[in-house]
Amino acid sequence: MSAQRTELPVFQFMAGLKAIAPVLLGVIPFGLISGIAVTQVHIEPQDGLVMSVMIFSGTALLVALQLITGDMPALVILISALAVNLRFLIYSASIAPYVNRLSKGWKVLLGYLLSDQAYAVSIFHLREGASPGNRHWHLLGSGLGMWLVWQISVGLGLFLGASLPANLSLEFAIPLTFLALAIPAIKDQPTAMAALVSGAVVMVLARIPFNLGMLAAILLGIITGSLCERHL
Amino acid sequence: MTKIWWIMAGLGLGTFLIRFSFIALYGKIQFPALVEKSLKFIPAAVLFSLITPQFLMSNGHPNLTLANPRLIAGVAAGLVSWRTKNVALTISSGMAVLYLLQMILPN
Repeated sequence: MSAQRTELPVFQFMAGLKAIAPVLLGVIPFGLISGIAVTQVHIEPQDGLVMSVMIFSGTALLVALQLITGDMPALVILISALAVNLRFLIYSASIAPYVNRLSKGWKVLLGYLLSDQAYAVSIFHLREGASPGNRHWHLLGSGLGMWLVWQISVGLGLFLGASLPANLSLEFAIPLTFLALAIPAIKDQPTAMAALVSGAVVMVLARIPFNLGMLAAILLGIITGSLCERHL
Repeated sequence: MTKIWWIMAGLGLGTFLIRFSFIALYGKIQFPALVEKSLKFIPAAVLFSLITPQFLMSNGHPNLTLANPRLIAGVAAGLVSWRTKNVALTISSGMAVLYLLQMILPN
């Protein structure tokens, strides 16, 4: 296929879908678990689905649900759950250059659809283009694929919750999914150093609340990578 | 229940604003070249900060011993990922090793 054809929106979109498809295998258990967790706090399944669409974030949802059972003030719960999502600031900054020329509507849509998985899958593709061109369609493909499977999985968890077998360690599929994305992300030595430092720091700072240790780990990892790049 | 709705709505709006933040600000704020060059380390830094505690900790404490089934499953899956670069294989091999260890090892 000629280079021009593969740059067409529809091919970029399909490429995005194709890229995220294997990742979705690990997302389904996560969605199921999240849906089940919602029902355990006595939220109606249909309300849960609305909430899932509003937020589109499993980790924030799970954190919020855990804190809701602990009976804390609403504002504290809100801030704690949002803190977990601060990493999206970094995704936002990372993809901003590639969507800068797009319309407001595109930016809002792609922003809403931003997830760990879609980001991890599309960022390299966005970077490899000589110019952003139509590559935002790849991000749309991966983002929509992720969104759909996520909502369906949460829906299944919400409406089928009680009848699903417990104790299958399904939640382990989530870190495995990220591992599957993390290893190929290391493409050179500076990046390997960034990964190493990030992993080490997050362990050292594990006790810090609000996931701030994770933010510190990410920042230090990025700084390490930059330093290595300039001096190696 | 209204309390829960407020929290969820706030989470929805807040999360979207976080996601949208730099996308909205990009053209309007000039970032130094150094920042732009650093962006490429974000995926690796983020992913490893997300996964490391999942594999190296048990019950909130670091566990780098062989008694940590997640560590072993993670190493196995990591090797599969390194060799095959195949996401589905990585996930399934990791789950398989975990299930195996859970059957063999006492709880």
